Amino acid sequence: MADTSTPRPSRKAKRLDMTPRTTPVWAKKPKILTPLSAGPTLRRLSATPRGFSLSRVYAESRTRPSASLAASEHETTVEKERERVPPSREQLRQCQVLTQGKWCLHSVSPLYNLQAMVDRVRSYSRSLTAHIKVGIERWNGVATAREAEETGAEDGGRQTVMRASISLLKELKSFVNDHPAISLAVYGRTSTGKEIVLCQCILCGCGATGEDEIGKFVMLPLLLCNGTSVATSHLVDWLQMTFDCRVSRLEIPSRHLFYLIANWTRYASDKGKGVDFCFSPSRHVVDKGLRQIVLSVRQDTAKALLASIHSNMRSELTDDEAERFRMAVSAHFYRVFRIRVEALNLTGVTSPIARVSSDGNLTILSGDHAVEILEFLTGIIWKLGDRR
Amino acid sequence: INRQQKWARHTTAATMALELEDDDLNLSNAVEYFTGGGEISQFRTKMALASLEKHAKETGLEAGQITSLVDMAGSCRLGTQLLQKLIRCLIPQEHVEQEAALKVVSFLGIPETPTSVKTMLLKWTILVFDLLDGEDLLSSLYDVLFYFIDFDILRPFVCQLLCFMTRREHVMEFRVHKLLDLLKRVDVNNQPIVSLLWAYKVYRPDLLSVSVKSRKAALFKSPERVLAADILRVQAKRKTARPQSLLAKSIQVTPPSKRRKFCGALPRPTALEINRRDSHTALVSQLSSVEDLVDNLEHVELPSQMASSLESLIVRHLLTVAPGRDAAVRLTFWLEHCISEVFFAHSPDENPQAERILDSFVSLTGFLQDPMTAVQYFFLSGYLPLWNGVKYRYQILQLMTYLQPEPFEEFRRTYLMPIDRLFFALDVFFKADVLCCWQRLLYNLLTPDWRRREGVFGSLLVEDQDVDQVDFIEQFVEYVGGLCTAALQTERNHPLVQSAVLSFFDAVCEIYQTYGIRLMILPLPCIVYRLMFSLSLSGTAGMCRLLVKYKPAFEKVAAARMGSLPPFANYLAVTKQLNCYIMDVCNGLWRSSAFRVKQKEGPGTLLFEIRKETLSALCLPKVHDTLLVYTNVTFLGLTWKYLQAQQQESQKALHPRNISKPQRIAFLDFLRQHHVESVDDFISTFTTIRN
Repeated sequence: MADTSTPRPSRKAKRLDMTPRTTPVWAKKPKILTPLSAGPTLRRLSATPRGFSLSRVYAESRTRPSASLAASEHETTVEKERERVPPSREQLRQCQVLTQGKWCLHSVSPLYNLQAMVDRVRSYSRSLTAHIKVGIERWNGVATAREAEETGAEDGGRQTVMRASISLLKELKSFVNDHPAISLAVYGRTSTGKEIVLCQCILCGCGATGEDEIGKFVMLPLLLCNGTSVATSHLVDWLQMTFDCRVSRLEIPSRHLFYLIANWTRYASDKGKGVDFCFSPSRHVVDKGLRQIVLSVRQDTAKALLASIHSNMRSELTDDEAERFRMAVSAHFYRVFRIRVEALNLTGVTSPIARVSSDGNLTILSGDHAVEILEFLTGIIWKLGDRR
Repeated sequence: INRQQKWARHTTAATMALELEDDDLNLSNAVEYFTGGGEISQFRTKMALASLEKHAKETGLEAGQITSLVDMAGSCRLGTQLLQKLIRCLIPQEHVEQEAALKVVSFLGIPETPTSVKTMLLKWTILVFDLLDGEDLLSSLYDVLFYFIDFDILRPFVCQLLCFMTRREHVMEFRVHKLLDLLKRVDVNNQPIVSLLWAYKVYRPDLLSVSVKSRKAALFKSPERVLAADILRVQAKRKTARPQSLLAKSIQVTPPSKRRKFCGALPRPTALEINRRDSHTALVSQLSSVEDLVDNLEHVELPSQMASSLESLIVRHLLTVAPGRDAAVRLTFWLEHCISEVFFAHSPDENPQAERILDSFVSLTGFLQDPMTAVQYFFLSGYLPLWNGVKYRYQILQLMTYLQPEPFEEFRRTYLMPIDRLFFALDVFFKADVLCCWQRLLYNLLTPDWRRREGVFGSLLVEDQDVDQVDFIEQFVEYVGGLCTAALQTERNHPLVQSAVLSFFDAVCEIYQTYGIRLMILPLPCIVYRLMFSLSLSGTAGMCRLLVKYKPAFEKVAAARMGSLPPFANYLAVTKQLNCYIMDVCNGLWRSSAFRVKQKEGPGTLLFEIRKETLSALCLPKVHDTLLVYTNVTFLGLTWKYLQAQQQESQKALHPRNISKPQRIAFLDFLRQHHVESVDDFISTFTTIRN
């Protein structure tokens, strides 16, 4: 047992001894900190003018894919220290998985106590299997055939879950220090005995984790889901319960869509397909039958426009440059079509490498640039979380 | 005879038609009819059932109505068929209280309840299982339900319900043995038992060596397809009516029956076996009361989702007694993500969960007496500039009372200025609310530092820059003092604002006396004199009470004064200012010396500095008596009452000037009888009249 006869000096008393003051030390300027190592993060914190939210602390503790931050000297120095994962055949193979089908994007808060060791991953698989099997049976027990048809489940709503598997995609990351991505898949069987993938999810954090460890928390802020509704909802439920995180649908505002498309345009070759902007008019116009307006720009034109704004095509665009790109595109559309796109909502963008919509649906068209695409999407999550 | 029979038939039909019109029971009447315990008539029952069915299938029933109807269904006041029909009408609008499921389980043990009704109730519970507002209560009845597995008729539904409820901690060796025995006794291929065994095997494959056949068909079928379809239809209709629900946002593809899982944005205290360090530790979900927690404090594990502390009292207690850095960070991360999703979402639609979440923030903050870092630094600082002052007013002002200090300029810019913007734009009620909020904040700022340092979220704070308590409070009180003056001016001394101002300065005068902080701040002169000249009795009386309250504080200062060292910086100036206030109020209310500029002795005046020419130009008769306690316009109503009581039989004209100087003390007693004792207290404290 601990010796309780000699009371430990309190924190306050200690401080008073060290720095005598005329008035008692009462309250400190509150700052939120979590990273355990107090290296560059603390120094950066103390330089900031006010308290920060946790996400911001974390966001600043690693290099964000935001050029506005990269512009600062300090961040540039940090970026230099970080080492990108060189492209490899294995990485390309893992990225090819992402090019199959449409993904639904979710943002995930930091995962607590996720351990990427082989035995733990195996026990996670067992736990997920049990959770989903019982959950699906519960669902089957009350679902009616009609309702199941509405949700698109096969076999009249009956799904039999065989197993769930969790695996690590070690090469699916941007920087060496990033946490490897995690793939979660639920396999089922139809009444005819055919094995199918009911749901596949990929948790990734390309460019999310810095050198500072965050205790028992793992930063994998982006979740890509593809599969049947019931299995997906159970899988998300299991993730939330097991790793004490919160998963929510990622909605991307118009200005961030412009930021994404401006950056993605840099990667595509001149000969590729054009860049599409999908706008949604106001509800009044929608009621009259016009649901969406799709405006296209040829890839070489878009790239030329970008080059006039952003000279170094190898570096990322700043927020200001993305804004200028938006204004230039708007001016172009007004000049050619007499349409003021400022009055419309941008609901989706398509570039030769990927297609993304404001309600969080992503289709990756080119596996070569999948890591970069995920990196920018992670950046969008940080931007959305940065409220102050 | 035929004519008579025809006439009788005609009369009955007409009566029934009339009754049909009169007894077109609406939903609440129908529920009241079934649950009220009144007389049961066949016709009215039919009508009430028809009305209930119509409403239930259209919009569903509220949770409270369902609970009371379930209670009625088990009491066997109606026939079996009618009861079954009634149960088919129990279509929930949004969710079902756990109490209803509890009642269903309790009816299973009553021999008088017909088996068909029991079966129907079980079927209904299975269908609404995902809509229950919690699982802990029903989970605690797992053993009770398991007992009914021996009953042949109930077995399929009990097995299905048990299968739904089963978690890893429920899978025990004795239950497996029991099921295996039952299987041998009944039928080796009995589907419900096999299904339950399958669920047990999924959770604990080590306990079951026998192989449970892999199936092509589903474990269970929907027990009541029509009712299931009705429930799903009503839920889906509600979902389309509120497309902005958290469910729809979080997982768009979620099927309706899984709605509760995401609709209930706040998680429940559960624990996953995979995260357990030791199988001997107790799970939070197994504890039913705080006493249980105290008994198992050393063995209990934190829940798998810390956000369950937002609603679970036991988890809150656990959070305070065993605070850990990880627990606080987990909760903070979750809150931050939740706030971002609910309050700062890209979509402009209001989230229906927002109010419930804010209520839980208020409740948890109040419980911990500690501002949650995420709420202050992420929610309040971000949301206040967007706030319209109306939406979530109660919750936001409650959360503001727990703000932690920052350097004052920063604090003012982040939290006070957004409120200022609304302060002058909104009505008097908002002003009073805000002033009361600042009063509570002041009390919280005055309490010692231990709370913040040792609190749950204390470990998340980094010491960076000192904030001096005395400086911060001084600046804050000065700031609110200015706000009080402005509020009294713009609202023209509204009694509500006066009351809020007085409450705030009640807290201010306790700074030195109660909390021992070396600071003494008086209300600004314009506040004191606005209250003195107020037309509201509560304002003037409250001001007298406030000045009396300052006296012991100054006495304590004088007693604590060591030699020539002043107890605080501006001691002499503040003392002089208070003396001026007392002198002026005394001169006005009691000494017939209002507007006398030259004082032979005493501290002088702050109020009555008026040029003689100006005063004479007013041509007021007996100007020095105008503010006396019995001639003052504020007290005139009471003076009139007093004079009436004193001169009931006298024929003299009633006039305040009739009150002679010896009668003044009697008038003070009269005021005391009418609950205006503060004036008497003031006069007694600061003059020698009583002596």
